[in-house]
Amino acid sequence: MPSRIKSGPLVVYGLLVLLAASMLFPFYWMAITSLKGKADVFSTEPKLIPGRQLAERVVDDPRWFFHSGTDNYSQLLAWQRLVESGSGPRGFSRFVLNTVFFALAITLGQVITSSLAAFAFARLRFPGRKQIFFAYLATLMIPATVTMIPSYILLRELGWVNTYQAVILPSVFTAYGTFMLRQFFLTIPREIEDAARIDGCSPLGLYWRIALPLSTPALAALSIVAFVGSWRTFMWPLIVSSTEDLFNLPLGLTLFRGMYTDPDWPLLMAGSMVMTLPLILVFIAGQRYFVEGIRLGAVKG
Amino acid sequence: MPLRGKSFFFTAGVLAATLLLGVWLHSTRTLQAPADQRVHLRLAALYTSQAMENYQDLVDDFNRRNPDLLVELQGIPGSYYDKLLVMFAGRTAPDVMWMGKGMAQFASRDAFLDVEDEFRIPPGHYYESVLDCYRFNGRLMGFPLGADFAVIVYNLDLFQQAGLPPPAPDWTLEEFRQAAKRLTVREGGQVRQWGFYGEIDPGVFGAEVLSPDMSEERIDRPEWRSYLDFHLKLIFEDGSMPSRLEIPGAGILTRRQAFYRGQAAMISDGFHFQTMREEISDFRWDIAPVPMGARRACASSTQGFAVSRHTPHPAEAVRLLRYLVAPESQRRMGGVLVPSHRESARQAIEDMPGPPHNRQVILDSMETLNPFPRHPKINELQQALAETTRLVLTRQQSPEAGLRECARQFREILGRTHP
Amino acid sequence: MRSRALGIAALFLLPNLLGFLAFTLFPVVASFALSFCRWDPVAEPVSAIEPVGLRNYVDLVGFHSRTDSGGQTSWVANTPRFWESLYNTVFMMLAIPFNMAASLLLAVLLNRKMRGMAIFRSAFFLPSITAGVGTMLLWMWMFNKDMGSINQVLAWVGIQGPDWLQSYFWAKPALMLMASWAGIGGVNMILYLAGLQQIPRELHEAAALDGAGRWQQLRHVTVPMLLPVTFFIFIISIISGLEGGFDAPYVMTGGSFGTTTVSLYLYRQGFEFFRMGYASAVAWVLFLIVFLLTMINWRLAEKRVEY
Repeated sequence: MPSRIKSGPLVVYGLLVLLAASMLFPFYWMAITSLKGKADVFSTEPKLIPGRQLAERVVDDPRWFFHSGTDNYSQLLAWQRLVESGSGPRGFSRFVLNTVFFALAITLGQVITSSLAAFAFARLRFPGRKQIFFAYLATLMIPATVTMIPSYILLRELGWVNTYQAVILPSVFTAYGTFMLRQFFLTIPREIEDAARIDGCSPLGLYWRIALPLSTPALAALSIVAFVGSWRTFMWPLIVSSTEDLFNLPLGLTLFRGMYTDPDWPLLMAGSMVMTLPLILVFIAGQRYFVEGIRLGAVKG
Repeated sequence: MPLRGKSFFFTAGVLAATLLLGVWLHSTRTLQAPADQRVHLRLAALYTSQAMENYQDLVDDFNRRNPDLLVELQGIPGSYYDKLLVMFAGRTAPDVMWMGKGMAQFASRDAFLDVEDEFRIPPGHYYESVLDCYRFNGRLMGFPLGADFAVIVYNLDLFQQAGLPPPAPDWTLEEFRQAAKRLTVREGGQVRQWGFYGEIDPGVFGAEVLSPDMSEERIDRPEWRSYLDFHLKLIFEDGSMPSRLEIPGAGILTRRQAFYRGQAAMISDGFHFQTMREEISDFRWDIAPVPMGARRACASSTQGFAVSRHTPHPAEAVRLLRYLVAPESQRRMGGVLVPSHRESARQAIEDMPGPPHNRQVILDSMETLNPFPRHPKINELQQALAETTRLVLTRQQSPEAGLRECARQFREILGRTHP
Repeated sequence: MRSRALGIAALFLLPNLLGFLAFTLFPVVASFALSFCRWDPVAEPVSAIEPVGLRNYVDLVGFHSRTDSGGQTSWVANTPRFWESLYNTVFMMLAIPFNMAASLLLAVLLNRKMRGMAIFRSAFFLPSITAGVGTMLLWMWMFNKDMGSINQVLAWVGIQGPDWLQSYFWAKPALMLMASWAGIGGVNMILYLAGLQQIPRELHEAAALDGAGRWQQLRHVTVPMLLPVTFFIFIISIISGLEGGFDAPYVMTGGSFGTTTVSLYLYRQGFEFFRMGYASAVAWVLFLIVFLLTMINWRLAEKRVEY
């Protein structure tokens, strides 16, 4: 197959378009649903092309779109239910800011600390290296379901229940980032390292001047993974927070669900759209590190 | 290397911004410092937009009336019992908490304060069957606000189109089945309108889950067999009920949506008539009792409040509990539950706008609630039973094999002394 | 010299290691201890946790103890629920090699300077960030026997589609299909993209000079250079394959029709049935399996790459 790919980018494009369309379908469906009125969602059987009805309606009466279609979003953004006291952002805007803060703090913490540790595991020789690394690996293999209660009890002992650090810190020092970056640092050719060593480069210099710049794509990948993961995290913030001012978007969005009524799908989908769009932007910003060919430029510089 | 410098400053900038954001968010938290002399109580409830407003009103009113107390309402937006479990494990459970289907699982483990002596209950003023759901070894471990149960909700217009009279108050299972058949409309091989979408409670067929002392299973019995056979007939013989069972979490086409759209002429559903009134505008509807079988029974659930056994302020917490479940408070919740207080229930039903018009059904059903036995391993037993029902009603397992297997599992769960 | 090396290593390790010891390793060790105890977190405080030796493990293998009214304890064979869920999980893990190959192919396809590649990369990444209850509902629609789009498409070519989510035979493949859809363009693809960037261009140029075609370059340059990343992806896939897969069966099939994964089983035992000690034992058996698989891989990988 790859030899045929060579014959022309047209085939590649065609293949990609077809695949991408199937990948985008649910997102498209989410977007369409988020613009519908509550009664419309189930009004016909789900069709292969779910937007046709909506399009017809918009063409029929363009003003309807601005009234009903944007209703879900304005309803979301106007939502507030926090207690009166306090002066900071409340309601939906607070959920958004909390989510941004959690995601940034966890991502930065993970990338910074685990790149340091990964460098030690990949490039330094010290007694106990293998053993400590296996301890890291081992923690990846235990499901969070059984570590949740011990973690919670630890945080209670520290007096940290319902604090920002309780949400952030346990997600920072996971083995995932360390393991991943170690694997990438391993691919750096030894010759480059030796050359730098001969030039009198210290281990810190090796880390700073060689390992990090040569692993920009890996750092970008870890950042994306960590950011997306912490942006969408639900269970842990739920467990450690007891007031709404600590909620993130995934928690906040469940507040729109009623117990007696069926879920308001359009509103929930509008919420999912609000959740997803920033992630797409982050991804688009991060993915350019996968194309620039940073590696060669950095070494020659 | 200009790139490294640039990304260094970028990272440092983001780091600084993150720290600033964190400090700002932390400083603008709405936590109330316990600087005053008031006793602080934490009240937890499952967050649902309608109920939360009611609870917040109640809490505000309580705080006004009790200047020595400060109650904080904590709305938990999901995975309610998971969160409660973790809090109990850490002994940080809220002082008072809302309870729904998890009551038996928690209360049978001594999670709650015994409040039997805190309530003077005049005989006949409360629905005993509802109070019993909160009694363990004869002691009240909390107090029920009220109950919710499944009745038959039907589309009157579709009944008339099919030339059927509205269901009689004493209709039998066979009459129900015939009605469902007549109400089913096919179009080109596909069903356009289902006669029924839902479930008839096993109790109607005389089925019981456990023996009265809860030591033995009662699963592999003809009553359970006739319960399964009846539903299998509706689904596969008459074709009057869809085979797709609702699955916890999300449904493809939930019963209610099928009903709203006129795709199901009858459904079994609970006390959410408020929502139905809002959703249904283009046809007439009403409610009917669950058809009569070996006995009368309807699936039910209760909601109420309980006090944590680990609360540092038991007296104050009990005061809050008494207020939260008082008849006046129950009447406020009348829109979503039938109060456990008889007089409040009567009044709430009377004040309710129609439809449904056949309100006697609601009060009658309160006398025939059929809750699941309050065994400490209730979740395990329910899971085993639900699994069997799901497999048999999708014909992945025969009723005999399913019940035999389920009974075996029940014996295993009941017999296991090592938890 | 040794202590100096240790000092330098400590400088790099400590920022992560300290937090790791407290927030990651401690809970893991605690769960190990719990796996030898019975603990009902609601009924008993932490101080009353009762050690029971290997009972949880024996129970998991297939026997539990029963004490009769006379105080006699006997061992009874029980339903091998754990093994069933392990079988379901391993069955669904059969998709891993396919998914990894697909991710690699996708990354190779997307790793080129062509107009619009950023859009394609984002499109393939999207499913992994939109995955959630919303998309599961959509898939439930698509899998629906009568009105689902999958069976509609099958009907065009004259095939009567099955009731995907409500049959023993099709429920697992259906969930696997959905997981592949969400996973192929997700983290694995990103890691492969990053891995492809790490390969010095000179290697490809040298291979091209030697007359290697694209396919040969892929085989002899790309794949060997991607081994460390592949090792990582494989290990993580095994871990998440064995320990993940909780939401989809929970929401879409309720765990029936042979879709109870180990993680769903574990959750139910711990959080619904309050058997925390037993759940911890299940977790540690899983650990043992993953650890052995990792070790085998490690040895195999060590032979091929210099670590």
